[in-house]
Amino acid sequence: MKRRRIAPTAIALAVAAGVGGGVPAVASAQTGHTLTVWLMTGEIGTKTQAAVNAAFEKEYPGWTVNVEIQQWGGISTKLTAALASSTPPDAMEIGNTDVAEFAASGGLENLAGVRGQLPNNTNWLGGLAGPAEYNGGLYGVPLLAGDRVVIYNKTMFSQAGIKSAPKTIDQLLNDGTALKNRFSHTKDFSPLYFPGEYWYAALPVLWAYGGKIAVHQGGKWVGALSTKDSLAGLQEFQTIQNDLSVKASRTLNTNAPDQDSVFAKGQAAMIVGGSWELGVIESDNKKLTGHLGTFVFPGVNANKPAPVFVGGSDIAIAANSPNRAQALAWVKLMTGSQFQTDMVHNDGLMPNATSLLSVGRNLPNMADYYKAALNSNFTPATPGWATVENDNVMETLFSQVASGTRNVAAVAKSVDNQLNSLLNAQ
Amino acid sequence: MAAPTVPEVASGRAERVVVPAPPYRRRSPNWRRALRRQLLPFLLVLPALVLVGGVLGYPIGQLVATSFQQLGLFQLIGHHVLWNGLTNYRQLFSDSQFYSSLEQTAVFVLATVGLTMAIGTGVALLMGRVGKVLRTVISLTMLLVWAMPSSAASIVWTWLFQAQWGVVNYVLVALGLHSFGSHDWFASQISAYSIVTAMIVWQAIPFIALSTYAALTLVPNELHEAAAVDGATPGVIFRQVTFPIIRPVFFLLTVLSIIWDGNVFNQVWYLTGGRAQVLNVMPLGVWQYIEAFATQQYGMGAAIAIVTVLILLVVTGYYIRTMVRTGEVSA
Amino acid sequence: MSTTMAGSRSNRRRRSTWLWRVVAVAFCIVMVFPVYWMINSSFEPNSQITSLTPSFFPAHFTFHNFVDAVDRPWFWDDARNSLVIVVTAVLVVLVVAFLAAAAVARFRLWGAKAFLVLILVVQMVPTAALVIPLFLILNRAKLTDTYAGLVLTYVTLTLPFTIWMLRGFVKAVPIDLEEAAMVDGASRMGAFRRILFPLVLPGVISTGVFSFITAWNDFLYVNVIMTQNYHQTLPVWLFSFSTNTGTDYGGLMAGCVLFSLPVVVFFLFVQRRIVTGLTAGAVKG
Repeated sequence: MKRRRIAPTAIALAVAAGVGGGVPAVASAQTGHTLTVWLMTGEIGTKTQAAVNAAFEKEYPGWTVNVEIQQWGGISTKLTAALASSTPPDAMEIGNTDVAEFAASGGLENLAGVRGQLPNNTNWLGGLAGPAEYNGGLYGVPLLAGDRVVIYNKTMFSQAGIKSAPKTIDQLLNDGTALKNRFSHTKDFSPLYFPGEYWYAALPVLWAYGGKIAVHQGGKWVGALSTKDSLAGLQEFQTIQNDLSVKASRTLNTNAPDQDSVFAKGQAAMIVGGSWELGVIESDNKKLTGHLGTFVFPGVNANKPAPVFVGGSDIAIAANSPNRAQALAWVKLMTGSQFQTDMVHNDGLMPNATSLLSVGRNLPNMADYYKAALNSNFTPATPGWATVENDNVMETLFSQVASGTRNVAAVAKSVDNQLNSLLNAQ
Repeated sequence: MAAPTVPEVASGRAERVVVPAPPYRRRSPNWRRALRRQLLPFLLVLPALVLVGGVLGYPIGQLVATSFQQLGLFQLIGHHVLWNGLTNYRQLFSDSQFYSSLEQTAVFVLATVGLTMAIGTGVALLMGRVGKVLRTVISLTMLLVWAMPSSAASIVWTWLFQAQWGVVNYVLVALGLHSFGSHDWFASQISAYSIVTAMIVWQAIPFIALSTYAALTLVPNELHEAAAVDGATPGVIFRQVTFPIIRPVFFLLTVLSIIWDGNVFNQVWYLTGGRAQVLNVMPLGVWQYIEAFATQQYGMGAAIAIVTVLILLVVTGYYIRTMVRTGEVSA
Repeated sequence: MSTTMAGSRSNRRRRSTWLWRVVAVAFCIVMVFPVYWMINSSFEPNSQITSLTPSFFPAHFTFHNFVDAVDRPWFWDDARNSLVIVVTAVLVVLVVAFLAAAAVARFRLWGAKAFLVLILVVQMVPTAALVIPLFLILNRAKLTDTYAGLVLTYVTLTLPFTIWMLRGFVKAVPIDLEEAAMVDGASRMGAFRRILFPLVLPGVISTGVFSFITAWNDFLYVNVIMTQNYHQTLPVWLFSFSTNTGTDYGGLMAGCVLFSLPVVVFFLFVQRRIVTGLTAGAVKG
């Protein structure tokens, strides 16, 4: 048998030792001071970051800001581990539906005492500030927001003889019928493509009827989907979804198939979408450039559009951080009017306060997004809400209502039971 | 320790020579010699021992301790220790979900491990039977499947079995099975489990097949030839010549598969799109995750993990005993 | 080939050989289909990937996804980190595991059985349950956010499995070859290195590929252990295709194709040795 050369043990061990020894040391090795900030991927861009950091470094000479971009996947575990360690990031962005659970964790600095010093603190968007408040404390500062309105194809609307955007849900249904008749030859056509699991878009219908996910009563959260108002909202959601969206969409989410490409292909005249989706649609189908319109999702009455769901993030400071004062200074800059406005222009994100929403009026296509944010609503501000999201409770609720396999009241009742246990979990 | 396996191979026959382990006395009167004899193997094992003990010792000890604590996010982050004795275990054993999850895990493991081992071994044997070109094609296929990142695999599998536009339904309809027009593969527990099983078997086959094939290459060809000359049928040759030699690897692969599939989480979670709870597709690994991470009861999650380990230990106990026994000649 | 079987009824044998070929090809097609689908999607624009009718070939062929993917931040950092960390971990784990496997398989080592059972029990613990405590102990040892910390993690996590696999391969090799070498004057270690190791090489390689893939694919640990962007590895980069505004599936699939390439190359590099191992065995006989 032929002798083969074998990598001697020593080499492998030497490699291991070399790597072990030659590791770049942790950030603390730098001579100056470093402030570490964690931001989430795909949001605040480098231009805005650089501007804020420059302002901070001017205020604190000798300091450098180290922004680390985090991925959404596994973020909860990563934050938990980091906050439990002796070297957490000094400041970190937390999604507004996760912030409540970390607010109660003891790992975040309570900012209630300095609330008065925080920019725009009297008119933060409720959907961002609410979840950061826990037991009278304030554990995060609203950072950025995003919401959804109806995006429609102007050409299709005029071809179907629709003169103006619908102001009420009834008009929306009527316009839908007109669109359906006009484009009956298009395969898989939906007047309003509305995937059943799309709970960000479905909640406004529930809220339009005065319905609620849950209410806080006597120190406890109680599922409220079975109330008369909520049932009316769920029923109306079923009607809208079933009448205006292709049957296949009842149990789908917005990703697969991608609702923007459904719309771009002309298989839908309307979708509910965020402002970034306008660009996606136009790049999918260049011919639609200039033919897209928006309107706020209508309510029951013409003068009262449906409250919109505001998504977004807060920024929090680690209780274990030795640099809490500097972190607070950075947070004040980032969440202040000047850099919030920069963020609006650089990154297409919505600012954290109603007082800043006026900047949107002059932005192309953004007017309705900003208008909608003035009338927003949010999910129950309790640590248990994170579990509701993890377990996809809302997706299940709305897709079951849409598919009609069980009657609406029965679905609502079973989800209420689930909420009663999840929202009050300690 | 290895001496007893030898005669079977050396004799070139499959007459199942059972060689009793040579009787020896551990307590040799000459202690120094005994110690010296232990020194080299001990030094060889030492790095492994230090690594496993040093790196995983604390986390595993912590996991055991956690299972006797009430540990939520607040306690975890603040390092507050709140012992609650056997509460987690009591709660676990009184939860009907435990028995449901246990049953699901048992059936699931039986199906996945059975299929994986059967197909994997079959592929390994097939690789020995086909020519060089096809063998390369098979091993390349195995590799491509194996190399596909599991995130991509999960996404593609959900696409393939998507109800409205998935390729599987598309092909079934094209074949004339119109009832599959928008068949939802994730609508029921059984159906969802079948897809998860298919995907896990698909992902696991390459490793099993290539490892078994590597083990097969250790079987000297002359043994096959000798047996064939003697007129043994392929089945007999496999049972009496081939299998005894690959048995250690086969047993080990079985045990490892039981361990991996017994802890299954990722694939279930991705494929069901987080609806595992609604569909009651809740093997122990998924239940553990939901308790520990989704509802942040780390103590309860730890207790489930510990109980799972104990169950796996009992289930694989027989194989493990056989494997660590000196002989491995007579099963 | 079935030349090993000196059967007399060659017709039947030829027919069965054809049958096996057909089985092999059909099996490969089914197995490779999801991989093909990933590659297919990586050449399609996003609007085509999840459309309501599947397209079996890239209808609007584009390299755009690949260009985009490589342009993403930290691709090159992450690729370098992945290679360095994973290759180091695999080399270390193979050496450490081979020594331990040879020790427990070839010596009467006191406590060997307990050791083997113990490391198998370690393997039974769900890895997700260990992330946070492992991070905390590495943090205390100042090893978080370092290559060494992650290499240690991967070595330890793949070690139990590797020791067991190699022990199985070692046990399958007759000891008399080593004994013959030792009679000829080789030392115990010399016999391991020159006789045993080459013989179990196919096993070492298939085990090594497994360790490689396990470490290469890990997201759970690297995401928690590495806190600075330029210390992270490719699986973290893959997650960057998913943002709050949706997932860039085309980019992700292209990223996954790029991500799989090193594994394929690594395997092709070592695969010849598996085959060589086989022929060596045959020639020897």
